[in-house]
Amino acid sequence: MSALFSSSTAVGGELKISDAEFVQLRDFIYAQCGIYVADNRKYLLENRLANRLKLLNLKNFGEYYHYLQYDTNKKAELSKLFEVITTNETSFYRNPPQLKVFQENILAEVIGEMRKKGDKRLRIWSAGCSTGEEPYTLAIIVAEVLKGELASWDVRITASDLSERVLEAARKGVYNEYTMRTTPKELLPRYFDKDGENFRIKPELKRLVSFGQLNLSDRVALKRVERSQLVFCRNVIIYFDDEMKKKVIGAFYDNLQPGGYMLIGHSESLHNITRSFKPIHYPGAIMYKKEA
Amino acid sequence: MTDCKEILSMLTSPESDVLREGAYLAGEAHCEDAVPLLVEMLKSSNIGVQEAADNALRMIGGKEAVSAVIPLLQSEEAPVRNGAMDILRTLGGKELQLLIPMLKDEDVDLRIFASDILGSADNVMAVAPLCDALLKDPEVNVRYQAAVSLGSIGLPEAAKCLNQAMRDEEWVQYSVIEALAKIGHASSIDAMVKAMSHSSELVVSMIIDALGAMGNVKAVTLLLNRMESSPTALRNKIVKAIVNILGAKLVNLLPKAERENFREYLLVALEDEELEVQNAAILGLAAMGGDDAAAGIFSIASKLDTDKDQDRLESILESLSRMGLTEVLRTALKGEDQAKALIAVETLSRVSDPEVEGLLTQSFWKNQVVVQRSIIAVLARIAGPGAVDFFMDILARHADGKVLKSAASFLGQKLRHAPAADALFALLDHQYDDVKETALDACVAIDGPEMQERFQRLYQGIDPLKRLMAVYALGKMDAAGNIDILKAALEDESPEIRKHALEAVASLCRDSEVWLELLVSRLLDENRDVRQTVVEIMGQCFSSAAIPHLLHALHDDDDWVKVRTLEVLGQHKVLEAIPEVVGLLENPNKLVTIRTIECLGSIGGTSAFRALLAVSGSDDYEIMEAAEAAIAKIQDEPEREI
Ligand SMILES: C[S@@+](CC[C@H](N)C(=O)[O-])C[C@H]1O[C@@H](n2cnc3c(N)ncnc32)[C@H](O)[C@@H]1O
Repeated sequence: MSALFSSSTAVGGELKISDAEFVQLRDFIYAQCGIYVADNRKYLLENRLANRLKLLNLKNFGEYYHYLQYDTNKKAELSKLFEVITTNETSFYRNPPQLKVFQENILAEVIGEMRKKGDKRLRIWSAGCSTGEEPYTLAIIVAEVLKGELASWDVRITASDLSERVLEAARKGVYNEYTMRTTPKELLPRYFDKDGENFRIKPELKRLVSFGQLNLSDRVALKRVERSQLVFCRNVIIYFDDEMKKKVIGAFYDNLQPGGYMLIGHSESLHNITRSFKPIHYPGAIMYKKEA
Repeated sequence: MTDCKEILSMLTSPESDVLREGAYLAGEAHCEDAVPLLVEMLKSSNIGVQEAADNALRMIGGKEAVSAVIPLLQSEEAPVRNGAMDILRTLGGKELQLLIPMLKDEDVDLRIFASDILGSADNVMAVAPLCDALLKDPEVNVRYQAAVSLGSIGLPEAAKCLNQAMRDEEWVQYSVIEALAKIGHASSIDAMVKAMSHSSELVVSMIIDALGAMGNVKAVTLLLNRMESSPTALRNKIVKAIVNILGAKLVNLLPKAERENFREYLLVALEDEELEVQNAAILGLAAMGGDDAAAGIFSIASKLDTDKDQDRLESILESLSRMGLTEVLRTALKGEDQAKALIAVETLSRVSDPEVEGLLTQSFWKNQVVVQRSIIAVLARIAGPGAVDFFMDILARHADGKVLKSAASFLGQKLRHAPAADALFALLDHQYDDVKETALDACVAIDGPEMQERFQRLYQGIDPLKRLMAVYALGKMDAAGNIDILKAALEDESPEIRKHALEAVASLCRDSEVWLELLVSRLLDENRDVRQTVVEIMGQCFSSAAIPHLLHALHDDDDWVKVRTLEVLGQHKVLEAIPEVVGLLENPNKLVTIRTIECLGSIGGTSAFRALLAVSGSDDYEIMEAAEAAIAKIQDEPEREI
């Protein structure tokens, strides 16, 4: 059946979220994943969830709140809710100027230091990896920098996200052309197999990345992530309020080995969040260093 | 839970990781004994450690923390000093007695720091000491900072000393004026105006802004007196201040002799580079009127970006519409520029002038479709029966979905114009759902035997969407007269149609008994949404005959059907349901349990009460809480027959 009546007033009328329900849901979301839904996004939430409520045949947002707590399908619904409040937008080689600095300056420096020490265990953490484009891009960059040496190194990219759905897509590793739009063309045959219209990550590259579900508001889980030389958390903390940002960024600081670097999204700032990192300015990008 | 002792030992570790974790735990545990060690950590050269200590101290707070941090203000190292300042700004407000004596310290820097910190205090007790510093401190930077802080505190108690400080040197004047504007005390107007005669041009312009922001009418005459002699930039600022103070009452409040002059000044201010000046001029001109003014305002509006400047555009259009049907709007409607035409339509939609309707109809076909959409939306709202031909013509000739929707709702919902039936019915085949939907409601509005016949025929088709529309329309127009079709629809293969048929049947429940019988058969529907709808309708059309069926629905496989049934039983206080309802307390789904408890609370009576007492001892906090609330509800209910 078509959507003809679903949005009209024929059945049930429009669903509005009351102030009390909004606060209830907002606090619930915050407690679950640290995302703070600001007041000005109230209508967005109402709008985007209205369809969920209709599908579940619920009368108001209070019932939805109950559903999230008690229903036998609450787990699945929670992921749906997360999908509604976050965007999973991402792409390969997102923000090329930043990645250029990363490849030519940062990774080169970190690997240089490691060579000096005879250490060949490289660990990178991509936190909030969405459908996998970011960690696979990092894998490509590492492969490009290490070249023939790659096989003799122990490289692991830990890629984590809140949403199981995006992780599932990430593990598949099949992508369309659009998400490759800023990827240098000559890299495609090296790291992808053609799969009809799509591109499939080659197994050698795929094995560098390991995906897992992780909620950034779970302090204990964050402590369990293996310590890294590099942490990427791009376009994720925008959803968080300052307190949550402080906690998450603090956890990355703790995770990093001395001399390691953190990279955040280009529209994100650590102002008022932390002074612990040393910001290093490059043309088009800032790198945050944990000094030794 | 980690105890403080254990944390203290972490805080002496040589490892920075351990120090950070210790600080985190000390903050979480509010461990006051850790304060001295945390303060030491603030001096660490490792910023990560420093920051962890900083966060922890803020969480612990209190006298202990404040007095331990104060000595750091004398540190030689700027980052340590600044960090300490910042902590004290957050924590110091509650510990004023520790901070105030610092205003008398010999060290100028300390006096500046103390003045600064007290500004975040949000406490009237800080005002007198800061006033004292403002008027008596020999050091200009201390006086400057004291004024800034008095402004941040923002209490009227500070007005008197700030007024006096207007006589201080220019550097202090800056912060005094800002503070006075924030506080907004009437006594400050004279003090500021007086200072204008002996102050620099920059200070004068700050004073004008401050007077505008304060919004006190007393300042208007004083400002008007200075207009003539002021250079354009300054005069524009005065114009802005006066408009801000007087608002829309401008015209009435301005002395007659000044009005035309002032209008000229407003036109000049329209060209100022500052947006705020422009905006004030727009507001002022909207109140004073004139085609030249409207043209000037329109030209600003037409240069705005409809996305980025949305709010500004909105308020400018509001101003323009207050000026009525001005020449510039007519011209724009006829002109080539579609963006301008849109602005004109949007403005005209808010102008109540009998000429508007004709103007819009005449210009409709000359414009492009974006403009047409907005013209017809306005016309559908304001036009009357005289516009029927115009709208019929559009329904016949136009192809755009949005335009058609406006025309359909005008002819259907607004005029119930039966001759439009053919055209409207044809729109049920339109490619867009929203057009179909509007057309459907328009047909329903027209109603009548012919229209019903059309839908009766439509129901015979194989397309489920058509059948759905037919059921919806027939139910709305005459459910009783179409009961046979509705009965058949209750058995339709599409659950969506069955649901709509149910709603249609339910609309009859006030006048006949057939509904219940028809509904009951659907209580066994395979689709849970349909079953839920049945229960909901039984609630809306409640009668005691429905009770046995509701009791049955309590055992539905679907939890949400149970929940809806519980709601209905509670809402209608169905006492005889209690034994069955109590049975649901032992349900694996906690939601059902909680709703059962709520239902018992709504029904009330002694046996519900007893059942609730039994669950109120539950280990589960939420169940216990729900039971207590339900019990309280029964107890609050006035005595009633059981
Ligand atoms: C816009 S994507 C960013 C993807 C990628 N890092 C990039 O820059 O292209 C944001 C991701 O953050 C994830 N996210 C949001 N809140 C999270 C949380 N509390 N814990 C873990 N992941 C979270 C979302 O699921 C989403 O996939």
